Amino acid sequence: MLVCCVLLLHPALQAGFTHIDTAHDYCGDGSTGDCKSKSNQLGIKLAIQKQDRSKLFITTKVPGCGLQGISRANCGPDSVKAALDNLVELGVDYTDLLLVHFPPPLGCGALNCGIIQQQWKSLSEEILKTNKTRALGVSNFCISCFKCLLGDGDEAKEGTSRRVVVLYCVASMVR
Amino acid sequence: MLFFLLVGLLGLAHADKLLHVRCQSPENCLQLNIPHGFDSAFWKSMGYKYNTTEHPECEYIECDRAVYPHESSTTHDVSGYKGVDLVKYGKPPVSAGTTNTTTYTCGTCNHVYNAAADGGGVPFEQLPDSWTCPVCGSPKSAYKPSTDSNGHVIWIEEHEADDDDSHNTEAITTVLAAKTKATAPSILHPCKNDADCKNLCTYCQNGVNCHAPADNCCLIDADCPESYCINTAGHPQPWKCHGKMEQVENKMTVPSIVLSNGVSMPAIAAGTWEYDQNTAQAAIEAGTFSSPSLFFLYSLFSFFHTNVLHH
Repeated sequence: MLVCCVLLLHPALQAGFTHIDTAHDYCGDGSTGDCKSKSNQLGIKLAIQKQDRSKLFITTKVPGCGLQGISRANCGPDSVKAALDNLVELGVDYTDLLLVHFPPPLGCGALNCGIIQQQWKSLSEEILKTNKTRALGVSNFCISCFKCLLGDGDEAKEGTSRRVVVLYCVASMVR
Repeated sequence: MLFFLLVGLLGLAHADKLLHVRCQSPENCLQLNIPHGFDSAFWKSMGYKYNTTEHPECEYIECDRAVYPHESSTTHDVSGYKGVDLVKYGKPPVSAGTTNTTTYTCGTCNHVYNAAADGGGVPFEQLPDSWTCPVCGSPKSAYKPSTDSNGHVIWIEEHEADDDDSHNTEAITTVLAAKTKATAPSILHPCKNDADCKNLCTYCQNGVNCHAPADNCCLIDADCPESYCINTAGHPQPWKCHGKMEQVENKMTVPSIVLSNGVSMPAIAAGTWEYDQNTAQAAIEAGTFSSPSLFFLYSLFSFFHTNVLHH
């Protein structure tokens, strides 16, 4: 954590970086995902504590439904709690962009569409509208997930080219 | 695709490893050693008792032997699962009586020691020398006693346990006076003799504090007004201040993207995912970097690695 977020972030900020991209499960111990000890968000808190918050752009993430402590059945409230925990770990009042990190296991078909809709609705109402994040978005989503969230009905075929997804995302999704 | 790839990578990381799980109370730390980790029959059957989602007192790491040094019992083949061990560790007896309101702050990362959260209730003074900062891993010696309610730095001398309060008050007054006179950098490093200041390449002034560091020597970032102290673990002392960073004068300009709700987002971010070497290697070999986002993160990692870690 020292290497990542105190020693490395400091010169990055000095060099002109203002956008910090992180997540609770970005670990502070060199492991990757599913942290065995502490999140590097705690290190980021130390690195930015003397910075002008208004000049930083902080992106963080909440896990997908059914992943890393977010239950499928209670995905909305669990995601809201994860978003609030991120704020505590980072020592900030708001994030600039909050992303849903991944779709649920097995994708966004009929099995999971209602669940990610609940997740998105909860985060919109309890995090975005209460100004705890300035923007809300998703990452690693495939087109079926976008169609579900946007209520388009017909689910696209899984495995669509990522380039198409990116275009679709830029065109439609970040709120 | 990326998602499944990542799941695959995590799965590989979990396989064939001895998983350590610890569950702590203020008095004890129980440690499970589980061959084959999350894939083991033990975990699939009994893991619900120890998973960190339902048991916040548990973590997937070993007990901190600096805090719980005494091994009080060991159970082999827990619940009949061959090779699974359960070890119970206890903490050292805490001497009764003294209550100390002095706070201790890590000189490297500014973490303030919290006995309950960081040391199983053990006062800072009673921690073993092998104890390290839970945030940045700096040694116990990196911690300094600090700050009264007015924000003055108060260095407590080693005779602080004296019953003679006036003695302490005098020492504190002396040190505060010295602080007032000190020139930049203003961080004080207490000393008794010159040997205590050799890592700052200076001498012990009046037997109280090291004279201001010479030749860019440093212990912490605050010793280096124009840069930072290269005090990464593994660097031999005396540590040196990094050269003044020219980028400060010439910051790069990052283009922005305007999101659909009007929020302006810098298009380049400092990614903070720490890759370990094996994961980075595996990702490259698997061709993951056809994904622009991961390639971007990897580029940032390379930037940091090149520009900072090798200094």
